[in-house]
Amino acid sequence: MKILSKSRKRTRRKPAKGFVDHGKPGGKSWRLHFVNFGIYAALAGIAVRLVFVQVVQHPEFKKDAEAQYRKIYPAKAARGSIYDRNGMSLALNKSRNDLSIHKGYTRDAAKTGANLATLLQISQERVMRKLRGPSPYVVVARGIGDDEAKIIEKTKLPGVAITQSSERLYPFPSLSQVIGFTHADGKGGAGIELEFDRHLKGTDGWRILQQDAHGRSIMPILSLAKPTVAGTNIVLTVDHIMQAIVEEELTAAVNKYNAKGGNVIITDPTTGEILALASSSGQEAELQNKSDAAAWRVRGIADMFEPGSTFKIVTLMAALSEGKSLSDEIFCENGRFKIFGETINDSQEHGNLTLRDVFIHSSNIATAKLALECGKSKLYKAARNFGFGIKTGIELPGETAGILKKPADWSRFTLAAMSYGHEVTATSLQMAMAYGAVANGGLLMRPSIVKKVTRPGGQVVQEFKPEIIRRIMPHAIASQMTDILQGVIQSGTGTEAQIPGAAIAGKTGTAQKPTPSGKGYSNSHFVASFAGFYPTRAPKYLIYVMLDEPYPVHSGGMVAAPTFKRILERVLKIYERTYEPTPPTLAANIQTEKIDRVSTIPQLTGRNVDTAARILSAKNLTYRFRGAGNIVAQQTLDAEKSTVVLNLTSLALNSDYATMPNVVGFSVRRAVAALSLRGINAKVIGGGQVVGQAPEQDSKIRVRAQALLECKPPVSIASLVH
Amino acid sequence: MFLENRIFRHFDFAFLASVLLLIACGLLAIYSATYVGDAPAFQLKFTKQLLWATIGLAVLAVCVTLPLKFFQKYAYVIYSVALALLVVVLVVGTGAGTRRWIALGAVRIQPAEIAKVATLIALARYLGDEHRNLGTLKDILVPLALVSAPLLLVMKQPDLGSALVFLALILPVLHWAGLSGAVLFVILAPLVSLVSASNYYAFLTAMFIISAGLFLLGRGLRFFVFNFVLNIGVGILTPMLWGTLKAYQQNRILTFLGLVTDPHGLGYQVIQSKVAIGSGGVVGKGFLHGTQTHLRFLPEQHTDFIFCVIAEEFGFLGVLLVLSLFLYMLLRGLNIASKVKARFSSVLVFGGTVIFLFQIFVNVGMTIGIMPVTGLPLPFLSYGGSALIANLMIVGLILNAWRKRFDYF
Repeated sequence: MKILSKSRKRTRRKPAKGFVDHGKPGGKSWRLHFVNFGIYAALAGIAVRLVFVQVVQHPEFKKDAEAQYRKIYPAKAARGSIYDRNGMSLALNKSRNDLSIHKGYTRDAAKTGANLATLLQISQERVMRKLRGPSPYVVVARGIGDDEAKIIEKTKLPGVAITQSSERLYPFPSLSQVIGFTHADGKGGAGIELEFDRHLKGTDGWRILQQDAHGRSIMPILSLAKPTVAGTNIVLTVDHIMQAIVEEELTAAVNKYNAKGGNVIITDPTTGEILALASSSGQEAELQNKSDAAAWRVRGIADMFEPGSTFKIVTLMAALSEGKSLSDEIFCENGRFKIFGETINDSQEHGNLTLRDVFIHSSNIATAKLALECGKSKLYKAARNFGFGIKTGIELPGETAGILKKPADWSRFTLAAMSYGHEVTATSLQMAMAYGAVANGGLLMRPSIVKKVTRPGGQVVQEFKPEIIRRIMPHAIASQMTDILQGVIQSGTGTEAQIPGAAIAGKTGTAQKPTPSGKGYSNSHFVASFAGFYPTRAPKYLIYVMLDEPYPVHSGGMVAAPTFKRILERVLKIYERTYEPTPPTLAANIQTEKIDRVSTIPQLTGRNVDTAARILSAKNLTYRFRGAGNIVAQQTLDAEKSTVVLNLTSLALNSDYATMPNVVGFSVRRAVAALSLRGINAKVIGGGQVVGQAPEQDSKIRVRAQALLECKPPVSIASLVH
Repeated sequence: MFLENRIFRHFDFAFLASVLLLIACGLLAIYSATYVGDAPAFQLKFTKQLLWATIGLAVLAVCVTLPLKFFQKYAYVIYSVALALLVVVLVVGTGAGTRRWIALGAVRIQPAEIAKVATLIALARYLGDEHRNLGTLKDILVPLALVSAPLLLVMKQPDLGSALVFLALILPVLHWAGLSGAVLFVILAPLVSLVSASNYYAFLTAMFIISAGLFLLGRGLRFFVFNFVLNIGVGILTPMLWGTLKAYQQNRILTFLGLVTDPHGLGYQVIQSKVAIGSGGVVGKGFLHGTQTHLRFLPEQHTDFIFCVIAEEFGFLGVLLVLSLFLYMLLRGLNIASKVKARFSSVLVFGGTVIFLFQIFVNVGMTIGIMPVTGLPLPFLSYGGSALIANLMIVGLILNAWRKRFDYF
């Protein structure tokens, strides 16, 4: 009261009229002005602020808004597949359905989870445990079936989503190191996957979606998207059936001969194409570790070793080029020869041997003597010519060149040692290519493992044609060498490789391994090898077998040669209707001048269409196809005898039906391999161990038809205890 | 016809038109804010608001036609009924963690909105008395009590935004009814001291200005000393009391006052609202093309943040139109308040204008980050039946006062 006393005095009893302008037109009290100002100030303040927010700061806020509602989704390009030469998938992408639950959007997360668990026949308890976790977004099940995924998508349960992710699958259980693998980010990590990554990966794209405040994607902004470009496919030269045969036989041989490991390579000597490439070590367990580069190396091109007697073709070529004759006699010192303070031993004691027999019986002493006659530079040149000491240039990562010392670095004894394959190292592939040059008449081919690069539609982007590195010897010398190598099989060290009635040429090798100290050679550790080809004229298959430290039987002739034989037998069973003891030449029938120019038309029966065409065009022969298929069934000359007519068929013609083996009890991997060997495709249901098969054992099944394998995980010890 | 003629003589069509245009803008914005698809079944909120607008216009018509004398006579009855409803809502009310609505079947009414109009009428009745003298403490305390009762009841719901409307109403209305500048100063000075106490220099400056003001008022030494000590005391006690509060309590107050932004709670809303408005730019993104609106980044977009929808989709130009309509309406309201002969009408119209001004400023200020987030709807635009009808009642009373501007009663 007291504080207001003065104002009360001033306004005593007088009605406070000041706030209404009675009868004072145009007159306005200070109160009106005050409030009027207030209204203007308030709205002006808002307007000024709006100018600031909507005009001055607009670009900033626009960016903020876009950051909120636009989300860039990277779109992964589909990775190309890898096929074998017959179109069998060796690496492909499989889209995988994952089931996820966004708890925030479900009506009743627990009930939804329970229903889904029942539908998918998975443990309800596990789903519940996942749903109880703190994250609002839970992936409940990975890799669920397409049918189930479709059903779940149809139900449109709130909060339940099926998402697709891509998984790299390697359906064919071998060739692991050659094909390699992809890392989690999709980049190639080894083998073809690494070497051809830029072809396989394609071009990733992206698209922009609008998303709402809850992170749900709403609509694509179509103008803002970069489409993906799918990766191209790689077609390998490898034949998966041969590969399976090789892997199976190599494993058998390694077990049988107690070897540490081994490599086998099959090539087509005319083209240099690799048909199979296997090594026994590098098992599944090791391959689990993707960063174990040693486990993932392709041993056939990465591991070098002293080849031993198989290397003698170098000396033989040098000697023949020097004008030596097959009938020249050489004294073999009765098995023991001292030179430059070292002793050379032969496994058998020989007196005089003809040059032919020197190689047939593999006399180290005589070979050394031949080399000494030729001299350092001739032998070195011959070795270089064969491609030793140089990378072959195969399209795989991790190739080594082997070690071929320069003559300047040689000791006095090196020339002798190298003549029978010591003091020089080579890879299995180098050996295979060297023998290929002998087989095909003197041409060193560049090995290839990739046949072509194709678009998803099948259109060829790039084709890798056979590439001749150089002619390393005249045809005549190659023929002489082939003749000697045939003798090795017929009556020499390689008799174990004989297949009755089949014309095979080859050479054994038994190399003492250098001692770990690097001084001298071991008397107990050997590398046994065999290189051979079939048929001797116009060869189709060159097989190189190397076994590391077989024990106790360790000679190439006793260990590698039989392995070669078994592999070749099985290959022939599948690919050749009959063996070709003497490859028929059509030379006698050739009358037109054009075909007269070449002495022979190569034997093309059973060959791949592409290969046949390539061989014929390389020889300037005209040809045409009759029928459809991928394999040459029959070859004839047309009426004018100017054109080679190739009757085509699909592979199945050679053996329409295969006998179904028993694979029950096998691992899936083993079962698929076993079926592949017989040309049967497998459809695997489940995983783990094969518990059922259709058709039954011993029933006939059309080649390339599909057999069903029902698989279950093996019974665990834990479940037996309960 | 005769009746209509009388009603529309001296009728302020422009004022009504501005209000109708604002309602139309609001309907458009609500349509966009709640848009999920083209089917009419989806436009439930839009249809409902259209219905409320229709009912509101009928109520407006009643308020225009009923004699003002009637409102004056039954002012306290209306006020009592409103208070009773505010008590009832505290018992039977519904709302998310609050008791704000009384559910009558499918319809929910918000008694706070009714109380706003009722309190306005009661204030006008009391202050509109020709013999009221605002120099006495009683004449100040009664209006304070009239406002405090609904204020406290609404706070109890709790509905801070609506409660603030009552608080905001009292000083301007007392000022309009003749409260002297000196008393206004005496009341406002401690508030200034309180706010400035957080900063040493601000407090010194405030004290200097307050001392100067007190001296210039020239009400004697005791008056001066009493007020000076009061303000110093407020300034010293505030930081001390502030220190006794727990950190989260301090934070809550600061956040409420908009001095601290909390990026998850209220702060998030302000950020989102500014992003929506700012990204609208000068011309906007186009009707139904507001990304922030349609992707639901905006909180409460059809109610408290309806302004953002307009700002985002129609840009600064659209907002300028809405603000111009508001400005016209407010200035016209003030003009009417100063022109009408009857004191009751003048206070009534002025109070209504103040309610609009406060709500507009606080709501729009909130969306652009210059006012704290209090949850106050934007008059005529925000979705909500009770508020729309209450606001149209006030408009009706203003139009009625203008119609009878020459009458004394």
